[in-house]
Amino acid sequence: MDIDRVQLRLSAIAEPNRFRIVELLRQGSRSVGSIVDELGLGQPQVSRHLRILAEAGIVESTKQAQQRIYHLRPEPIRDLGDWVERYATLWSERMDRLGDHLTGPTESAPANEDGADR
Amino acid sequence: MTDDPLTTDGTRASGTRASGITIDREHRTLHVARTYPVPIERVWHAWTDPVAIAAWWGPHEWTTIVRAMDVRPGGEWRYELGPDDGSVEPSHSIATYRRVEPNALLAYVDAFADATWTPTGDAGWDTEVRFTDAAGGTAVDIVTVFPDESEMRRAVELGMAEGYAEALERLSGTLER
Repeated sequence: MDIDRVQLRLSAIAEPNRFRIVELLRQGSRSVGSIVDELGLGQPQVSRHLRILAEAGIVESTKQAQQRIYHLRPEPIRDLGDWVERYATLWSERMDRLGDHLTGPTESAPANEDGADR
Repeated sequence: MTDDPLTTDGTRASGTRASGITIDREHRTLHVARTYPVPIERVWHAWTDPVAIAAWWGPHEWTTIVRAMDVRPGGEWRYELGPDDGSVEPSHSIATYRRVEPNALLAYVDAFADATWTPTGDAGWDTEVRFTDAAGGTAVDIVTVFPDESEMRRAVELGMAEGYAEALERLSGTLER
């Protein structure tokens, strides 16, 4: 059980353009060029999103002739459908926010009105 | 913030977010452990002060409104939680404290209520939070016992930022192919 990995996947697909890419790949495998054409995004941007999705284990690619073809990996999607893990992720994120709250500029330096932390 | 590169830990430098989470399906328990680099009183305050807890309890871009907080055995913490964009009606929850040991232990049962603060009759979620001194700060250990799947589902839907919930709902359709 690796909650950090689940959380990484959630963060990866929560970004709107990455979510659009995942939605597109649900319809079938595609090349980077085809994703660029379909979504009207720049190639570097799409490549970067695909790299993040690949690092999160959501997509993988195979090489076909001169192109890289991307497709969804089924297993992580199944993980994300698990309610218990999603509940655990909620708590994990809540505890992150508590950490940010406890160590954030407004808490540690209440006199500092503008909250600048440098 | 919407298009930031995803880093595994760079954006969460504060606090310790090592693995820290254990799910025991057989006993329906979730255990969360974290250590924060601040004194125990600060952490206790964050859990028991109505203003402080509202700052971190809900997801980003959601607002927690604390309507009552009476931190003593039998006392209630009533709160609303809803998204800032108003896309979902705020949920109402009543947590009833069972045990309160300042700077050491907080045990409560968290249950849903309707808009008039009448409990919906669901079993509620037993939660125990322990605070202990740790090297360089405070360790927080949370053990929560989760009820059946339908309540779990409801809690997740109400507590999870809408983007996630929607993304997950749509993605879960992938499985049915």
